[in-house]
Amino acid sequence: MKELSLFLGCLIPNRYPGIEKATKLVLDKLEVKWSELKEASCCPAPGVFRSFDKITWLALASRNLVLAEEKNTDLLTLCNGCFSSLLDANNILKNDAGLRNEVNAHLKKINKEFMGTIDVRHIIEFLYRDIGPEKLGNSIEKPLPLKVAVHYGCHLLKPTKDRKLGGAECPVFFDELVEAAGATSVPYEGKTSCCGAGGGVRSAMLETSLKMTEYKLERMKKAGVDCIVNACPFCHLQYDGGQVELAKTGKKYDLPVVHYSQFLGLALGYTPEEVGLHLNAIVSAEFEEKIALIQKKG
Amino acid sequence: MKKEIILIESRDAAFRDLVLETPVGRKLSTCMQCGICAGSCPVSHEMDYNPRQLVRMVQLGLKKEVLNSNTIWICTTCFSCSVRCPRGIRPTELMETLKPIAIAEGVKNKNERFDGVFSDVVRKNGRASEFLLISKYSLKEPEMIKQAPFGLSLFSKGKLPLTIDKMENTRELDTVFKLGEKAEKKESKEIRETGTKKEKEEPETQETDK
Repeated sequence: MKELSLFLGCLIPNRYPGIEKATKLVLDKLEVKWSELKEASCCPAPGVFRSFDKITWLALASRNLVLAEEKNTDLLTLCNGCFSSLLDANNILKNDAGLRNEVNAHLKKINKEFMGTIDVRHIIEFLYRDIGPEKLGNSIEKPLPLKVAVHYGCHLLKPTKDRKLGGAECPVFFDELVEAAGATSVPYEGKTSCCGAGGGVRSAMLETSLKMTEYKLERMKKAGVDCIVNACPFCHLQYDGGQVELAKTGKKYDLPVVHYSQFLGLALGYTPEEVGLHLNAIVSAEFEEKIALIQKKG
Repeated sequence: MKKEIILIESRDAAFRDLVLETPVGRKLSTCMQCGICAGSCPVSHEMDYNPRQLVRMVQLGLKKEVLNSNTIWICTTCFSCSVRCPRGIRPTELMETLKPIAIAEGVKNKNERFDGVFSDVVRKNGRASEFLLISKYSLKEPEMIKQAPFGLSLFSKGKLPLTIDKMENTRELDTVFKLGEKAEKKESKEIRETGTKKEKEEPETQETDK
């Protein structure tokens, strides 16, 4: 396995920097070697760029891939959107010589060349495959006996053929990671369905996208969970900001939204503030007290 | 569902062939209208035509209806339809294929305007920031101002930084964007002029391809 370059994307540094901090704390604690990826651009966002301008999408994505190739590291993404864009671009360019030549002709103008020497990883996929729930479970210092609604997010799973993570109907790998941290992953209706943010829909058709978020939140709430655990800052934003937007129409959920890096950070003994939960729009004093109590006891 | 008579004049063979020749289009003729795509789609109830209908409409070459439907813009690209299709068609990618055609045909809407803002922000800053996106998009889309109180409330609590995490040097990106624009222009010109996209043959030659 190659060392990892951390690909942060846009949303994490600009909106949820706690996810970045938590990831770095967690990787260090697990003794995973990583480094920053300097001068990386937007992945670029699959929902916007791939749909509207495929050539620019592929060229920008390949530039990011080449930055990691030059360091001889794999790319570690913390976001389903970045994962989707970079994994798909990497697969396309590795397998389609014609497109690779075309993109390389573009990259040549900025003195770069795509070689196809690295892999694109996602934090969940990496933790599951390279560390594994069992080993991860052994390093947990403060097991979190919480009831959790796991949200995989679409692009972690689909298209399944390109990801080699198994089927998309009843995946279990993320649940196993959550349970390794001492929590219970509670089943709920519509678990693998979309949060509503993708495809530029959140930005241009907020009401439509919120209907989907409402569908999910209703069912998570009904399942009686303590929090939502996700694998993607865009899903994170949709659930966190979405609850504020839905509250305007009188719908209140008060469900804390936690990226898995943050969740794992809590289970490794870092405080809610250290993993950046206070930067969420929805801050639940009750949830943080619960965590404090668990961490004090454990 | 209202029934509409399909007039022969509304069928556009050039449009149909253009789509059928794309990577996703090659499988479209195998669609057996089973509807698992429509049943799997979490937003089909919001669509003018569900994915199953859209595939049939492309087969029939109903260009105007397809390109002006909200269907292609409302897809959140969740890929549920694509992983379930028994014929291996990826309707998600059909939507992604149809969007640039719609833009080339002059379709204007919020999604297309947001794309412009997003590209611009990435081109100038390397990475997108919610603050820049919302403030710039509000200028083009006045109703976005409705979201301002949410942003302000985050900002007042110190949750939305005004310093923007961006790249120090975006010259490389600018070059890539310029190359993309050139290729894009060429393609949309071809679509408009001939109704079909020419097979790519010659590598781009002059710098001043306007």
